[in-house]
Amino acid sequence: MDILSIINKLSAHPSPSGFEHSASKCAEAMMARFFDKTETDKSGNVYGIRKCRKKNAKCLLLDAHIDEIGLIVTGEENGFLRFDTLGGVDPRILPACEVTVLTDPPKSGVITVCPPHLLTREEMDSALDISDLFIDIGAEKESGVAVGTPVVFNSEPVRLRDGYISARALDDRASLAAILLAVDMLKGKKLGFDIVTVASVQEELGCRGATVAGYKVNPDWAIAVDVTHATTPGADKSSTFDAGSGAAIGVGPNMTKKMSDALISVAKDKKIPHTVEVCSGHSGTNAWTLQTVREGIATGLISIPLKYMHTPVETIKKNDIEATAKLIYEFVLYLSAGGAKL
Amino acid sequence: MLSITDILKKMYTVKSPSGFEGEMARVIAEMAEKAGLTHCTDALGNLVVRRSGVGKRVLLDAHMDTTGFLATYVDEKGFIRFDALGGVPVPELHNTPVEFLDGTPGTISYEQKTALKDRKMSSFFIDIGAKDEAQARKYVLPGDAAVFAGGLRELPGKRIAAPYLDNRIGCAVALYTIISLSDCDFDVYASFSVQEEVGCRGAKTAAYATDVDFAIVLDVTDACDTPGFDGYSEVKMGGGAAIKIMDKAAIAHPAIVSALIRCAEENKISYQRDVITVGGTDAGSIHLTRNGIPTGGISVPVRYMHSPNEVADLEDAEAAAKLLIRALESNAIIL
Amino acid sequence: MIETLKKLCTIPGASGDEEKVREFVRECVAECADEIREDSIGNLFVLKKGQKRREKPFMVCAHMDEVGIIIKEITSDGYLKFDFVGGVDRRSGVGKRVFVGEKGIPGVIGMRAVHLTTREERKKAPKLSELCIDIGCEKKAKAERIVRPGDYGVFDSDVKMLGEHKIKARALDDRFGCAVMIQLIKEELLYDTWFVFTVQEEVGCRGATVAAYSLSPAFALVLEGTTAADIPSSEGAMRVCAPGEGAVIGCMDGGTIYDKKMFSLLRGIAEEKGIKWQMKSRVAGGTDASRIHVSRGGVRTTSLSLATRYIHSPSSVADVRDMEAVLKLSRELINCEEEMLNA
Repeated sequence: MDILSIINKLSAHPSPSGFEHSASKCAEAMMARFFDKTETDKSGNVYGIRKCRKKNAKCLLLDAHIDEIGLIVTGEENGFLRFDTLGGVDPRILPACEVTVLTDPPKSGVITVCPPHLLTREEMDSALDISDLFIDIGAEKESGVAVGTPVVFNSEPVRLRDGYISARALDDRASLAAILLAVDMLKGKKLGFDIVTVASVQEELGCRGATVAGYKVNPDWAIAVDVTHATTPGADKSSTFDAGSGAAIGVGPNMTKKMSDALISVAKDKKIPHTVEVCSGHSGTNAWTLQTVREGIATGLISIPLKYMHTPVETIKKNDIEATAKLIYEFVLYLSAGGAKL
Repeated sequence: MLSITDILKKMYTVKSPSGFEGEMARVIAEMAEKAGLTHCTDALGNLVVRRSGVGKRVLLDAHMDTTGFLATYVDEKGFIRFDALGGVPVPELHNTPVEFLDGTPGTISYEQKTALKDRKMSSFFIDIGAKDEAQARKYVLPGDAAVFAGGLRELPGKRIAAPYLDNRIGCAVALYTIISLSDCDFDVYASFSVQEEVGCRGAKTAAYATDVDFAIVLDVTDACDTPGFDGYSEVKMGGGAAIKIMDKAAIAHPAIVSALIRCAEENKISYQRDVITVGGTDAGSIHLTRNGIPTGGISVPVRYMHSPNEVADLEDAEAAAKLLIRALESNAIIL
Repeated sequence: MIETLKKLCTIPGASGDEEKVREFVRECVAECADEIREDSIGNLFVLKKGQKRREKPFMVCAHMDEVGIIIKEITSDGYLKFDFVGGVDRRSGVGKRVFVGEKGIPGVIGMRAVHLTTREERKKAPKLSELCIDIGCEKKAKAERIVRPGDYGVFDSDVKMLGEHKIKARALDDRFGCAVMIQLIKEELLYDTWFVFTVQEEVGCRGATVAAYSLSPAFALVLEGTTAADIPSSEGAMRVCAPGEGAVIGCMDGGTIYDKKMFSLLRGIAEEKGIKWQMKSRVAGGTDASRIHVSRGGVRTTSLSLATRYIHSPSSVADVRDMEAVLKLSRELINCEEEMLNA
């Protein structure tokens, strides 16, 4: 199974935070091919479990979140839907954006914008506020859409040049793809510990799924796999990573030092393209909550550079997903071989 | 014979906002007919009056449209939203009386919630005193036009005040001229053009159709002799005919400028040199027609342009007419 | 007609790059047209003969071009700097997919991620200089092999129905007008009629300027997409016009005061035949009529428009019932007896 087909398959399933059901089902079906067993918990987190069949075996948790940013219907006016955001949506990308309203069956919609002919230059210079925007589903009077219905961007994955992929919700499906790829590579390898992968819910609303997943699995080690900002024109280069530079390994208080050090040394040894991402506090990922579950979990963070995060056109380089998969794979082997005393 | 004042008085019996010049065309055509001149109307509504001659073809252009208002929407309370026909400055709109073409009176007022500096055309509405939408619609429908209410008032001396002296005074000069010409070789066309206020559209087709050798545009120009309006141009009300040298849309043909100035000096007609860098006239359209038409202009200074109370001096209009008649009869303009 | 429209809306054709649209139109009308010619700027003239002749031509016109993108520069790291062709609210371009160049290379208009912006920056619309198209190329040399400055692009947007009656597509303005004309060319007409598919409307009605000059018609009917703003943030007159309320009969816009007699004629036909019609409640926008009506000695010009939401954005929305209304009214008008038009 290759990266693109994983992403394409998941793309058919919208999963705005809190409404991940359909994508979780899809992820579970995919996991079934790589793991001995799958499970879903009460929060909607989906687990893939690979046992080493040793007594009192240790456990490594690999986390990628399954939810994506989206919108939620809060009311209507003359058939146009009023909405708010689910997660950190930049209102500046919304005018004339195409969306899917997740009714059953789903409805296509367009976000309203006033014709430019009617606007002054000043008006076009200022950003629109969520309260100025509505979703048009072509309803004549009453939309028939219930308040609370979630909405996602409507955009199909597309392949760009030089191995780039553009799609919505690559944050964080690219990471799930990397984990699945790594587990696939581990097929047939004898390991000294269990591996549990979680496709966790509600990361965009405050890492909620990972909190309970960490508690349930109670692993010895956890690696959160997420995305970070790839360099784009106008961005401050010191806080972004060139696309194509490989896996960004998190370093800082949110990451257990031994985990960071081990990840970096494995990447160096195996000549895996990588960079170091310094987080002075909250990493903005599930690593933040995983680190303090129960009596604490030794936590690492690997991030994949992603352009245009939280837009319908998130863009990622395939090589970076592959480097991340390779790093996870090599790290597991290293850990299994006794590695540093982690 | 009709005087400039007589012509003006006749013109003030009808309304003629841009796009709605039909009535005005009829009034002017009637006067021209009585004077024995032929006339025709084109696809856009330009009225072209002709005084045949054996010499070169000349176009006298004066736009007969005025600015105005177009009803665009009747709201549920019976207030009427509108947009401007041509450039009407927003400050002129506050609680101003208007009249629709059929005589329905109304007052323009504004949304109280909008701060003075933020008011634009869309902040204003016309109140015709209707109780509700249904009653309002009996009088006014979207697409109906209105103009500032008010007629011609005579001030001390030979000065007058009225809305829309721009450009009825120019029309009066043009019509007076073509009626009064006696010993003239030129084949003279006078176009009373439509839609100048929305972008000199009528003059475009009139100039194309008449295909003349040169053209003189009769219009108004800002009189800059009022408090706090100095330094913009040197033109004064009462200072005589304003010979156009340049405006934002056209540079008058130098041969026409010098011929007019020479003619004014030889005949002791009071004149002033008119140079403005804002605003234009039909000359902007005419001089670029076909392979180029040498174009000049004579304007009458007007104070408070595009307001409901423009003020002008009839002596300036008379000077403009005299200058134009002398220039045409003496064959002063040679290109 | 709707099927033709759906196809037309998938063909790229920014102003100045109308060739593919023109070829499609040419194919559509090849069998039923009596004469087809193309002029130097790219307008396509199609004569459909009827049972009777008119004294001077009746011109029906719709523009083939759409708002789009033109590539200005390729940066050293392979991004494409661009400008919009025609009036696009740049805020509608952010985060959208595009196709650029001859081969329709996919790309995205990206923007610095929201996380990397300041509160002040988020209050303003991003400047055009902050936006660029990302086609995935990392090196200038590589990008230059597939895209060149001057290449055109269009938004990537499919055609679909929203609700029961609304259609969503790119470039409804003015492929809808083209579709109506193609339909009329396929029908039997009472009078000879010239259908002109114009170019470059979005950059200043440049095609119509020369088309009207060369055809020198007595009458013109312009078919257009127009500005519907019937969204909840605008009320009353600010809604301008609304999809579903019928064909928009032109009274006045930013470029034209439409012929009064033709307006009354159309209104009369609409009322008599029970065809829904509306007027715009604001004077806004402009059409090819702005150049046609002042062509040569003047042309009596009218317009029928389609109320189009989110016009000039990647995803415009209109009502198919309005399209039928425009088609019916157009048909009635061009079949009008000469005396009716001159009355």
